[in-house]
Amino acid sequence: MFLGSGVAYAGPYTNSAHGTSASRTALGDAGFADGNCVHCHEQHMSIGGSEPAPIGGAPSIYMGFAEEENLCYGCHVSVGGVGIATDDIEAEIAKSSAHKAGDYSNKHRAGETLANISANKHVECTDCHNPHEAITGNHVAGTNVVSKALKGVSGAVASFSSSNWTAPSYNLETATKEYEICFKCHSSANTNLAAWDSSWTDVGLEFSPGNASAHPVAAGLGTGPLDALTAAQMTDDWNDNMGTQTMYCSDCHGDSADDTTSGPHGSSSPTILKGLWPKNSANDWWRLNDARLERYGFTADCLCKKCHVILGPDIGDGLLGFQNRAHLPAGRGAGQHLNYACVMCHGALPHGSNFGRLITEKIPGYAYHPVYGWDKPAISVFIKRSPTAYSAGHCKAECAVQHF
Amino acid sequence: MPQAKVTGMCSNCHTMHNSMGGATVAVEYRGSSTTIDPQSSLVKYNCHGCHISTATDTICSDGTPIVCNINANYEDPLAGGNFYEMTADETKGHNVAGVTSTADIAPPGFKALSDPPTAFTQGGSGWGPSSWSAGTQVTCAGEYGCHGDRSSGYDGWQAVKGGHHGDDTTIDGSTVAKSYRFLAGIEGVELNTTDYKWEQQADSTHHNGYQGASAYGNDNTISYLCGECHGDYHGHTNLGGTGEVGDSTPWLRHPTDFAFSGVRDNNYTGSEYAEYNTPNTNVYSTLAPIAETSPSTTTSTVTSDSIVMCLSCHRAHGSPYYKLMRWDNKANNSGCIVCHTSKS
Repeated sequence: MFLGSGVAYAGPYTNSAHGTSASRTALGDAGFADGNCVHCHEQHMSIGGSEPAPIGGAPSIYMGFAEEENLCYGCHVSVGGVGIATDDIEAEIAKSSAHKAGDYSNKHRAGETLANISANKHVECTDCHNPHEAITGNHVAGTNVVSKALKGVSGAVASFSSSNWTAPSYNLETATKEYEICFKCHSSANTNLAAWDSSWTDVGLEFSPGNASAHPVAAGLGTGPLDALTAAQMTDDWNDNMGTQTMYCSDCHGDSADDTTSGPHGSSSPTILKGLWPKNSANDWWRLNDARLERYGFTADCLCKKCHVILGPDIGDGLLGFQNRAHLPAGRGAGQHLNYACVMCHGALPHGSNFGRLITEKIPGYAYHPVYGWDKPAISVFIKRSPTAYSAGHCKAECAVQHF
Repeated sequence: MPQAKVTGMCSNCHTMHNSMGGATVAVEYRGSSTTIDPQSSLVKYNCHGCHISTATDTICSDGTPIVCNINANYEDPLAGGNFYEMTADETKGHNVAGVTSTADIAPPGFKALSDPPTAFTQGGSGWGPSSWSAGTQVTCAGEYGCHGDRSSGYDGWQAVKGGHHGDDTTIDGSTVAKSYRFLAGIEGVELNTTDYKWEQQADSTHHNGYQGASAYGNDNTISYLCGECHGDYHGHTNLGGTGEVGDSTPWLRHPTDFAFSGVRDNNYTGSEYAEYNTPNTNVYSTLAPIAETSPSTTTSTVTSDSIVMCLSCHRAHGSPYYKLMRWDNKANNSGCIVCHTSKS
């Protein structure tokens, strides 16, 4: 008979970040190897505690040494942790806009279905992360493929329609794209979406590749002449593979104080954005002149500026013009756009649109974004053209200078 | 299939007057020391006298199983492991009286009758301790032990009295002799195949058949026995119910006496447990064995009806590893991933 023999082979956990490094200091000191299950799970809720009670009181679900997010915070905190991690996720989630894991208790279940999710509003670390498979490292720009930290998580995999502004259908599977993880809660895959929060919108509908326009979260924009923006309209991280590049939700959503790709845990900016949109730090709408005149910390704060090159060549008045002629049209009314709010033309929620270029259609009485209201959009017809080909005839609007 | 019914001269075990040739006969072995004292039931030795050895064999030439090779490393330990490990490190075995002097450690997870819920009936048949006062030490048998009748007030002698003489052809838990390894009330099938006896050697088709229950449903299981002293870790009603263990949605402590079919809202198919022992998928593993409602020593395939038990992870007597584990759980998760295959 063999005592302790076993088949040892490397699998997803063994190769994961936790599998190679998870360690509670007290148990590490007691001789448990890094990555041992007991660093997170106490099979009888006894290890390291006062027998039979676990550390910190009552037994916790899944035999964690602490309850839900507090187990993760045990290591993912900068001060006072019980383990080795140094990233302070607890501090990020404490920010004003965040995935507030601490607001929910005992709702999340391993292996939960979309029906389970819909019926039990919650967000926990393990809704987005699989601690048994996650790998150290953040994502890189230009793709939507599920990143290292998100490996092995379920997602609402969408079957998109080719029709403009049509919601997809969903199946819960292991996510291969980051957005599928977000869709579990933030799309109509969540049948109680409106009940969860009346201000939330169906991002699955918004990012559908069948739409007239959308940020390329679900699919590239295409390589036709009027599909993607030009390379000149994008910053260095984004001016390759135009039309085929994709992006993450977390390219825009993340910590405003840490402009890296560390994920949408929390931010001081509304809606967990890495920058400010659609209002600036003065709580006023961003306007084109904010870019030209570098007002309200436009370069540092404006969310759009992080990826888009907005300003163009000098137009002779000592200031720069715009990459897109529609932003500073010639002729009658020239300059009028400079002081219009961006959201008079573009969506306050610029995920996608039934018009091209994320132009938002003015529909009287229809408040698409209940947070920001609907008093700003002014366009009822938009004809997409190349950046330098726009003229008044391509837009019908109800602003100061009427077109058409 | 009698295994434990002793044969031979009565005087091999008993002494009528504790006197032979002007000298006392009875000896009580206490690890490496002995005391000279008459023993109950007129026997010449306590448990240790026959079941501890200074040699390396774990089955004596007369067939007696050795559970503690006190002065030497052992060869081919039996299914319960070996108390030898505990003599050097008490975290590696049950700290049985006579093998170690440590006394005042209540069993981890011990649930006294006075603990909530107060209505439970300890042991169903009155077996097992109702409290564990300071200074009380676990014994081989009796109220504070594992073997024999564990009725209140019973010491080791009372507990196993007659057991070695009983007919154990059928193991049905009805008597001490007819109980699995003299664990009164507990059922199971002992491996008795030549060269494999009591798991001296074991593989996927030669192993003890451990009695289990699908969802804490019975009090004749090997895990129930453990729960009589470690009640927080077993969800049977007699042991206080599922309050401390939780249920599959989700568990608070690791379940025992719970079939794979009941995990995660009964979704066994597609679960990690359906891939038990990957890459030798569904092959019975002696590293993390399972119990059955109808146990067999030859069960080779693990199914949805297979049951996790205390002995899936632990050895009963002792092992070379912390907390009597079957594998070096401080060094690796090799036993965990036999069942938790998605965590490999």
